[in-house]
Amino acid sequence: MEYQWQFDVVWAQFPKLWDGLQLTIMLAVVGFILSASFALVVVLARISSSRFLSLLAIGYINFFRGTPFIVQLLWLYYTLPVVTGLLLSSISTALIGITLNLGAFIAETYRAGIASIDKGQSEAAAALGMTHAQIMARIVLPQAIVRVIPPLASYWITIFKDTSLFSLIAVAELTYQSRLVAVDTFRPLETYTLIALLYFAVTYPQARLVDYIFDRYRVRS
Amino acid sequence: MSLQSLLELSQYYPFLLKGVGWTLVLSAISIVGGSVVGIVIALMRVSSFRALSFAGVVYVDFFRTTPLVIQLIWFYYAFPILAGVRLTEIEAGCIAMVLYSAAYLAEIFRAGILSIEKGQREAALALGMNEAYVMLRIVFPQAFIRMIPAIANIFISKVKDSALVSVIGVPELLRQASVMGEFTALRMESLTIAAMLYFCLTYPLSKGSNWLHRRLTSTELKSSDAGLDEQLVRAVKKAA
Repeated sequence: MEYQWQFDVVWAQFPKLWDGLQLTIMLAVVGFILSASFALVVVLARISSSRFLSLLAIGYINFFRGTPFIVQLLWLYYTLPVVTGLLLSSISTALIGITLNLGAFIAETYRAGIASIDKGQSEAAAALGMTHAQIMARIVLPQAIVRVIPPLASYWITIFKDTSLFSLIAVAELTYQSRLVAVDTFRPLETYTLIALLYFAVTYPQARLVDYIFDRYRVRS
Repeated sequence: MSLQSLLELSQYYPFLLKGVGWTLVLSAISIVGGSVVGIVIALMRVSSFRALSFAGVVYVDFFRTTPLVIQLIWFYYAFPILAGVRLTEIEAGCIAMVLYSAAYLAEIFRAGILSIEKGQREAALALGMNEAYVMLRIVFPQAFIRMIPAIANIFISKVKDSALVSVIGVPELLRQASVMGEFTALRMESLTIAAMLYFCLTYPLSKGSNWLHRRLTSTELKSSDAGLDEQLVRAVKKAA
């Protein structure tokens, strides 16, 4: 028997999906800003001369890079309320989760960017009498930032896709809404096909943009 | 998290071990199956036949820009309706993981193939080798060495990605830990143990992959004298 496609039943539920998409975009934007900022703190700890701080940062980075994001998310979901005694909404848990996870990855990217600036430059600046802070602010960071832009842009795509995992802790983003629609309409094939295409339609232009950024900010050797 | 609860959980270790087993099996299947599909896609992408290379591009873009969860759900709930077949969780999980990894592996293969200097290919053609022979004897053996660290990294991400397959009920590590958590009402402890186990799996792998990367790039540097800057850009791009 040939399958009868019925997109209209699913299409009638589009407002729900639209709400989900909006929340997905909002979470991705906020999550990205939070993790990019948090990573700055982490990388400063990582490269600091204090042995304790850098070991702490290494432990954090390795652990969060070495375990699946979904495990971290579920762990936070069950643990945060017990440890902090606060009743956190699933959205705040999701944002804390993505910040901790992506913060570890982005911190390593920052570090690679900083390490890629030739040491001779810092040495020359130190010889000229600049302080450590001055060298960082005037010599190293301005150059490192440009090199970090492309990988940072690809983390944007990662975070956009990772928001789909928030559905597992009941955040009503796009994936979560699509599961509701699939159950409501009894049309999983149409719903999930539509959702996959929707994710593609939204993410693909962003991925092209990231490619453009890669070309634009390529380090010329 | 008391000692007592950890002791209580410790009696379920065969249950978790089974999960670790499935996690490793799923990761291995994704890498092996993904490589087979990935090589085909990469060859399509570098082929001079426009329709083939376009199809390759669409495949890679589609699987890389949609979340794995959506693909898993699609292959588990939607695909059987479309194809009129019955798939177990494990089969659906394997199909999705293989196709998803193939998109990433195809890009690595393509980069590897393109990184081999054109002159070598032209020289081999001039010597009378045919295209397939050039690929097999000249390009692949060199490209493969360059791809090893990247493939090792993909394996690490597969170990982590396989946790998502728990969503459709495959008894891998996360699923087993969640079930154990529900059963004993010790969710936090169970998930902590699962996180530790994942770390124990991925950390040695990532150390090994770093070591491989250093070893292989240093020999490459000696042999080809490639610019350091370019090496770094490639490394940074790969990390992303």
